[in-house]
Amino acid sequence: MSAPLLDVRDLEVVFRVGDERLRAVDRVSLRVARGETLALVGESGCGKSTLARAVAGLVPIASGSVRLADADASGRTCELVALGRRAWRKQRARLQMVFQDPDASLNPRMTAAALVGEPLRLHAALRGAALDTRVCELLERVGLDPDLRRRHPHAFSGGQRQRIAIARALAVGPELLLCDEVTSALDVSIQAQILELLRTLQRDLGIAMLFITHDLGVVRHIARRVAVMYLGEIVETADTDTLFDAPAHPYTRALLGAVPRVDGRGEAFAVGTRAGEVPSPLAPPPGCRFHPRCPIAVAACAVASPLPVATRGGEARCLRLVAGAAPPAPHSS
Amino acid sequence: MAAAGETLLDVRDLHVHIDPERGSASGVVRAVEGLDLRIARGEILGLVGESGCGKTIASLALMGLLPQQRGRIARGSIRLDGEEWVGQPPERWRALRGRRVAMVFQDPMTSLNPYMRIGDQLAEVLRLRGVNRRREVARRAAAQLERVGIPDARGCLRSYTHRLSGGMRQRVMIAMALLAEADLLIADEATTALDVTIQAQILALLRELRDERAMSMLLITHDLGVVSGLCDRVVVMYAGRALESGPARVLFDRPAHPYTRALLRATPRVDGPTGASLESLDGLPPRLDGPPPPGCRFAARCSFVREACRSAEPELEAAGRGRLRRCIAPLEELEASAGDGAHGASA
Repeated sequence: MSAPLLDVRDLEVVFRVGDERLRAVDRVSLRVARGETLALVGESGCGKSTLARAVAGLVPIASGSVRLADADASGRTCELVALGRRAWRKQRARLQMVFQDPDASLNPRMTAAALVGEPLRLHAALRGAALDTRVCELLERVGLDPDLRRRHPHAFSGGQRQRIAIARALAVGPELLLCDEVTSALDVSIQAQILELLRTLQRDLGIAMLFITHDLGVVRHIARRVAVMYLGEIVETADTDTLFDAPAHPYTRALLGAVPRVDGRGEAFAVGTRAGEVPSPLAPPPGCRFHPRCPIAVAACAVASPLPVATRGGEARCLRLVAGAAPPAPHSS
Repeated sequence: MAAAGETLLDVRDLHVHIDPERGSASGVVRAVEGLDLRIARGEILGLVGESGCGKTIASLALMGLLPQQRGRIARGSIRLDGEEWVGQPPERWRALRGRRVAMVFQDPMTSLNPYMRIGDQLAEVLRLRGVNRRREVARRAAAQLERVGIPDARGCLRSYTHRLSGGMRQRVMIAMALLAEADLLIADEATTALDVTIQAQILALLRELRDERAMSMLLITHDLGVVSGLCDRVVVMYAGRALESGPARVLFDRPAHPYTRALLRATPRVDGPTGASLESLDGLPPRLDGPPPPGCRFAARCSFVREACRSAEPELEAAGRGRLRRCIAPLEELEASAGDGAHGASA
């Protein structure tokens, strides 16, 4: 098997908060194959966005490795951590990030054409008519009318602005898109349009995606594999069907159970955690980080940090799991 | 006071207009047109729709908070327990908000005072009810904080809002509603900003309170899942108009309006199948700052559209199973196509 496009190992991101150290991403490993979509899900503050930003070189990495496979299928990989500025610029175009809020990432003084054209001028040195032709192609590809390219972002709707941000990311021909809550601010009908666009782009261009979201419904539509994060750690990874139909980790089960379902049956959500809040990432609990809220925690969970256990469709970090066996049921209390 | 099952809130033919900013070229926005809402005691009504459909403006009208948005009730009636509120002076509305109607917004920081301790804010609510003795105030406030699931109630009374998480702030807002002994709780996207595990706790709490105290609720949300899990009846709004209403279970199983159906089919679902494509609605809703389109407001995006839809707007009419809808497409046509695709009804 060829090397994965993106191979993240033991990645650590640490922020300084006053005198304290916040380990936002704690020795996380994940892989994304060429052309694949891996969804990274979790609740706010779990570190999912920080992880993507670290991969994109937007926040400093404390330790660990981020390798990108060479484009020539030679099997060689390039270590992105501690890459010099010039070398990083060469790799930079291969991975592009799209954010939740296009208003924050698109300069309001630039036209759609200038926004999409900027990376083409910088990375591909395109000018004049060639540049304009390429800009029109890109706008068409994301479903925007090229005749509108002289307009500024405010003249577009939220969904259209997100299309401009996607066209801008596509401009340099990336192999990996890092999508951070790209549809979270959109109405469902517009969200559906953007998700379908991303799926089409992936199919046509073979781009891989690391898709960060808090919305499990979106995950089921867009991803083949899923990684679930909680307080800086990945607690479960599995193929999408397994994760949704037979989640192994108690946190994954709580998360899935809590999603309100549109099934017209009432009683559509469950409180799968014990009462209480998500602990502060500044002072994560010892042992398994989920144990204070876990419905199946035992004494040992407060002591030992669990190692990954192989599950049917992936792996999960839970002391209560036995490889190959069904996950234990919650205490009947 | 109304008994369980009796109408508590009765809104008829509500029209809300928003005046343009001074010097702005745009016209008056007809944000809500001809809305009827009825909520019985102990009933939870969901008001759903996408951004700009008028659901929030409608709820602000019910609370007398329109002037903050340059809005005004152009026509219609809002009755609570039979008493008419349209045309009442601002002081009367203020008393109504403090006692009969409580609200929880998406961002509780907009309704909680950051400079006051939680305990003092709760005490204000009790004062409106004539409870002034300090020990009694503290006892009642702590009891309600405990009721809404705040672990260290006494500590919470002494803290300021910024010390609390989003979920805890929403619990404080709900505790205020309980202290006021409000008849109606209006929750506008109250769980939208919360994580899903915390959202589940808050929704479960709201359901308990309804069961325990027969509190009526108006739940305003864009999340069809939240509506499906909690509401008895639903009103679906689009471009200022109610397009469909009915019992939640019926509406989500057998939508009678193409817009409701499209919303359902555009909503990503955790219950699969994996990788199913979503139906996307092309285009945008019509603008509301000019004369409305002559026909149905959804016609331009509707896949069941026919010639007549573009010339005259349909009335809201009975469509069986307790539903009302504003549509002329044959029901059989809608229901016949409901079974195809990944998101058809399971019935």
